[in-house]
Amino acid sequence: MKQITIFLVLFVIISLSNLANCQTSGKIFYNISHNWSKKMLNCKYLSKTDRENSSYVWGSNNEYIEKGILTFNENFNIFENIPNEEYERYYSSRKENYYIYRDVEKNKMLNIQKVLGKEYAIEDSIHCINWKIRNDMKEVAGHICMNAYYYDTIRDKEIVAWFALDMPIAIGPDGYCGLPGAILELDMNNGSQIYTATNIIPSDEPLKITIPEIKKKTKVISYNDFVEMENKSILESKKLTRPYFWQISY
Amino acid sequence: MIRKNLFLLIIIFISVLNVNSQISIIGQLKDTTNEFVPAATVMLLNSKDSALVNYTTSDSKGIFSFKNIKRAKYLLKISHVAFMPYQKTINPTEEEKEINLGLIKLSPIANFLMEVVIREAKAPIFIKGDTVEYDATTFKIPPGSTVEDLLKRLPGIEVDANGGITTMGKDVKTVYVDGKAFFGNDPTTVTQNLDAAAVKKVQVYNETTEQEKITGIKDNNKEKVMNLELKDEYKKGYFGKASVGYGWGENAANRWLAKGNFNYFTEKQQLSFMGYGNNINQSNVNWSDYSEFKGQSMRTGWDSGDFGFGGYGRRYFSYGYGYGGDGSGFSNNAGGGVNYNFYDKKIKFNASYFYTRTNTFSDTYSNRQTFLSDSIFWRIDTTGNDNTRNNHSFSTRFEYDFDSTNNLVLRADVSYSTTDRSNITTQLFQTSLFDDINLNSMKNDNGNNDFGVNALGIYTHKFKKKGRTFAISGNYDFSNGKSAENIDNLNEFYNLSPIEQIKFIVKNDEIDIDHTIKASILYVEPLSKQFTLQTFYNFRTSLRTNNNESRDPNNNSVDSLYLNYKNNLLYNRVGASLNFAYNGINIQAGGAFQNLQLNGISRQIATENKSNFPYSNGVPYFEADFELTDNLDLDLGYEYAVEEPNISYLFPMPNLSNNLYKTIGNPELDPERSHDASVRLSYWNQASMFNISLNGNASFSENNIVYNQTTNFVDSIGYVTISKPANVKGGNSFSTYLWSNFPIVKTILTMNVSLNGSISNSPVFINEMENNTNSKNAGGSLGINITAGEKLSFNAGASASATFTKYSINTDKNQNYMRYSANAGFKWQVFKKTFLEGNYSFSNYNNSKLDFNQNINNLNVSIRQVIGAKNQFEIRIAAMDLLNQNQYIRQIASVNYIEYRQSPTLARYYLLTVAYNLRGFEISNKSRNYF
Repeated sequence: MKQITIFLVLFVIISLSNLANCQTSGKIFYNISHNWSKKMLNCKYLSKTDRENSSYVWGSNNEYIEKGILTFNENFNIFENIPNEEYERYYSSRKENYYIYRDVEKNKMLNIQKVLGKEYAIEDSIHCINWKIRNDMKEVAGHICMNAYYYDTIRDKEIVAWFALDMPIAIGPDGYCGLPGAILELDMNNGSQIYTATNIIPSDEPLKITIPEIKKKTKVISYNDFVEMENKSILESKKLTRPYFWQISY
Repeated sequence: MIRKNLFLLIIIFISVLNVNSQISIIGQLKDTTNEFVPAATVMLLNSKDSALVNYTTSDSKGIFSFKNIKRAKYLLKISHVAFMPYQKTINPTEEEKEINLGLIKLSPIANFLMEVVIREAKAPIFIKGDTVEYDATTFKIPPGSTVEDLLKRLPGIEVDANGGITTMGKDVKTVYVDGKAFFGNDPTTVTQNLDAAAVKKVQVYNETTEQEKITGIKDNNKEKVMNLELKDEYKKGYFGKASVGYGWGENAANRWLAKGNFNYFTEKQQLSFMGYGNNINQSNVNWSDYSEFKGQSMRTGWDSGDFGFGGYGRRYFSYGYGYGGDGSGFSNNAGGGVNYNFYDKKIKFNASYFYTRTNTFSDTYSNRQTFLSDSIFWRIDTTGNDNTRNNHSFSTRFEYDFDSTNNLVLRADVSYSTTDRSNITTQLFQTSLFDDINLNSMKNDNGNNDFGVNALGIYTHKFKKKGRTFAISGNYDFSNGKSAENIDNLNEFYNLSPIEQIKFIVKNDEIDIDHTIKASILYVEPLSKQFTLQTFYNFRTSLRTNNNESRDPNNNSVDSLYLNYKNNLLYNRVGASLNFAYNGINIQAGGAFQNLQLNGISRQIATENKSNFPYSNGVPYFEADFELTDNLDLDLGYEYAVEEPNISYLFPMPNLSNNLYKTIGNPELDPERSHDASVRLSYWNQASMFNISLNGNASFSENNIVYNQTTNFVDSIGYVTISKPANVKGGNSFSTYLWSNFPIVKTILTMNVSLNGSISNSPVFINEMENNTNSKNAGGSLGINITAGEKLSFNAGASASATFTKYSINTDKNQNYMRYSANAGFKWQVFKKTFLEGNYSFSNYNNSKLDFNQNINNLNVSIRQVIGAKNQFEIRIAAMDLLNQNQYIRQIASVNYIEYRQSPTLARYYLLTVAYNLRGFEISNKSRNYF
């Protein structure tokens, strides 16, 4: 028994050190599940009666699944949305530009995304969350992950991240970063929105990542301007007692 | 210069200070077999809140270091997939510049934890120091199992025959529940008696003895302790509310209401009860109460087995319990029911029963002017109505997901209703000179019993190939209606002396039975990522039998009124459509071929009529939705609608209740056919909150079924109208609607505007002469909402509409009528728990040709007070229609008549309501505002 244990441990170490060498480039596929009932229930500035009513009627299965893909190498990474074929078959929405680009070497971020119905290019130095590290461990997509936590006071949102110990690269979906390993799962407000890595394809050759193009019409703003714009919209939504997340990201 | 030097000096001083306040930390990692541990994650956390300050990985020799770190108290945390997490507090002294942690030994994570718990059970595991925590909810155990059964399944925990527990080679002598000792020292009292379903987490850790707490020296041979953390029962619960109100209205009439609901739910079940009763014209259940009663089954009752155009799985939705009524008269209402839902990943089940009863009594006055090609006459009606309707409805639905590819839905609805109507009507006919022609008095008592059953089954299979789908449905519909009617009709013709009287008294019994069977098949084949082919087949057959017998006051059969008919319908449709979906462009185009066969036989005493017509045609279909820009949508739709004639048009029931108005059948009728097109354009701007949408609809009728009217003056009776359904060619209608909503001052003042217009041309034959009624309608409204802080809000609005009707056979009778209205209201949170609300509305109805002009002012005020520490009680005093002017008014301009109708309804009353809410009442002015 003991021998098997030692063997296993050795095996794990060897395979991991192999993985650690090659997993500085690859693609991570994410499912992004939106649970509208939970989002509504956790939107505390709405009327309590209405929130409870909507959660009672819609239950816990009111989910919408989006898909995302994170392409990374040692110095660059980019996150994009890809269409969910299951929904696209009967109704296809207009494709929006959505690129979350990070140049780690030059400490530069570039997001091309729609904010309040208009496309912006958010260009700045990289901004990451100030995470708190916790003690839980679990497996996501075949990787042992540790747990980190952050509380967003503006959105009244708890974020729990699971980052892979054997992928020592500070990346994550939707620009979430700043942890010692790749973020393979992100849980916001107890399942209101969950990013889960479904498939990880490592690449031996560093994948080529090109910086997304900023169109002429697209306005370039700083990260602080972007945050200010979002915060202003959240404040307006609070005054109108309507969910903020119809207009801007959750 | 001096200043510049001083500045430099300060900078240098600060940097020196900084250097002094910075430290570095180094260390080396080895495992228990003395091998280096490379690639371990080493994190430096703020010791207060575990915030991540910095991190690194150990190199090939297990060495890690942090340089130039701010001097502060830290928590050093080392993680590696193969080793137990290591944690150490670092508290640098004032002088220390480099903290060398030396050799740190990491112990491997036990095999069972890594391989079995994390990888196989996929259970999150919590490891902190020597505590290991299992998530009990992720281990499957049969219902009714004890904690001991659960422990036997946890990797790394062993339970012997006597119930003794060991883990990692050590005995567990103590078991706590939620951190507390439970019935003495024997752990088996807990593990063999407590239900495993109650346990959320199992934690195993080393007991800290009192000695250790004092000395801080750890004893590695000590006992293990187990703690069972119980589930919080937040997923179970109940809520409900009840209210009773009492007051008085005009003529000292008592006004009352009572209603209540109670809901109980667990993680997978919802059970709800509801009841109501009142005499304030609230005859149905409102949306919010209804949705709370139905719970999760609210969104599963939409099944339709009639596959066809408009996208696979399109579902229709109807809601409501209770009988709406048209707002005239006074009603006493009662109802109640029970609903049960069960749902998990595979099964969704719902059963519900509801009973409603409404008794309405009303008095209606109407004034109608009818014009023929050469003459005009007036009719003045007064009607007294007393209707009672009881309805029982039971519905159940079962949905089962065999797996992710096979789904079955079964549902059944049963309803039984009884209706008792009695009404007394007098119709006074006058010539254009306001001379009385005749007076027609009718007394009618009618009792109905209707029983209906509907059963539906839908099976759907999704193939391995994404998007390939097959579905089949079957439907059985049965209805059985019985009616008994007592008719007492007296016509008095005034122009003769003595007055000519015609009496007509008859008792009529009718039985109507219908069986319908439907089946549909759908197959969807994806051709490429953008193109999908959808094919369908629909089958429907129905058999309807109707028997009508009449008896005179001497109980003799009235042969002329006997009618028995049997009608067989067979319908087949096969169709296909091609769907294109890509980047905001969605188009569906297709066509179907349908065949309809009607075989009918009708018997009267002496004659037998057969009607038999097969009807085949092709129908095209088109629908498109374009997202033109990110904020601009364009929807287009076209449909060729073909609808079979209603069976009662072919073999009409002899309409006996009125001797002066008769309907006859037309077995030669063709189906109705029309081309319907629609367009919708909408724009919104999320930043400025500006929304606008424009809708247009057009319908071109190829073949329309209308009631042609023949009205003749019959001597010694009066004007007698015979109405016969017939096909007419032509006719069209257009309508357009614009709506916009935008803020003038964001979050404070918003405005909404709407405009609508419509034009219709409808041909119909009046006394065998074609009359084209051209009707134009234009209207608009303007409204504002003001939110003056969190506690006060106002709204105000005004609307106007005008209708212009032209008649081709009698242009003198062209009609214009107008309607104006205005309203204003406020909601004010006077004190923390006191709310004052009021609204006022004004309406004017006007028709110069009928010399009709009526103003109605309506004012309602209410105050409510929430009471109690948990806000569970509420008292409300309401004064409704303070000016006592409420009444029901309708204006009609039809084919060859114009009319207005008035009826008294519930007007001024005062009501005191006391309500109790288990969850507590809301104490804010917040309104529902989801979008």
